Amino acid sequence: MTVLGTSMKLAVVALTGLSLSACATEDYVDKQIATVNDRITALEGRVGQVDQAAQAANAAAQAAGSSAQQANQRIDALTSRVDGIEQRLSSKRPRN
Amino acid sequence: MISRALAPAILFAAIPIGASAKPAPAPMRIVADAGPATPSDPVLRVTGWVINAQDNGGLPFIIVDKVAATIFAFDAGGTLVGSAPVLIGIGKGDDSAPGVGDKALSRIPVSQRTTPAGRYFAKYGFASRNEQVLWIDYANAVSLHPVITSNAKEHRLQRLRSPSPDDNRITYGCINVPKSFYAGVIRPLFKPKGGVAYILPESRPLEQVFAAASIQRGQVGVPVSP
Repeated sequence: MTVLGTSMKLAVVALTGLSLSACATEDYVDKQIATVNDRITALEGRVGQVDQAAQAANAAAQAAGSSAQQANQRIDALTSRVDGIEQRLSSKRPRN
Repeated sequence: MISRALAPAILFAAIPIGASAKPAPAPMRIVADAGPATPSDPVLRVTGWVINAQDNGGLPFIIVDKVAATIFAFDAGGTLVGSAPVLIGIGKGDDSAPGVGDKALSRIPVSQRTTPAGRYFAKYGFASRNEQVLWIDYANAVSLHPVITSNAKEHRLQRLRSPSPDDNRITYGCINVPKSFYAGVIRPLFKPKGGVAYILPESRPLEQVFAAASIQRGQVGVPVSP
């Protein structure tokens, strides 16, 4: 009877200990997950900002390319006009 | 002072390389009788850029490979329609000496008899003696015309026929092409509205002359019907 009582007391103590330990571990994990979640949220925000910046840069590059092409064609037209005027004034001899 | 030939290259230099969202260039199209010349890697790169960026503005264009002494002619849609050997300036270099376009030929030293590299708007126009030539760089008196044979000592026809590009340097800066190529390819392409001439460098890096050409590489080998 005494031996059985002692065993039961030990089992109760062990279970209580295990139970308390489990609670502490879950709390720790929750905190860690919360920290990671915060970092993920922050990173998502930064990724969004970088994505927006990249899209803006790409749009600007395309606009610059278009402008350069338009400028090229204007230069072509101007070159043709200037050459035409120069040729009326004096025809050059080609460097054969 | 920035030459007109360099201005477009400088404009393109402001574009970040690789920033274009345009699709990769289509394979270079070639007509069946476009000539035996094989485009070099620089020719393919510039061709890919021109077609992809539509830099020719809907006009025919030529690419002159000074190192290989070869010209490649494309129609307005970017199809290679002909190639031929060329004679170019005897002086090595990619620039024109200041004032060289106004000097008498006999007063131009060999070192200044260069064919300048760059992008040019080429158009038919009058030259002295009331003749018409395809002007490449009027200010510097660089034109493209049929091979000149008036000075037999220069052996220009023999130089055009020889397989080596090493002896194709004889002119004062102009580009000479075979008469049949001029009449059959150049004149029909450029006489109506002119076109664009891309003269590849031999001393300076390709990207320095055609900054945007480093964006894309062309592809070759898909023939089309003439």
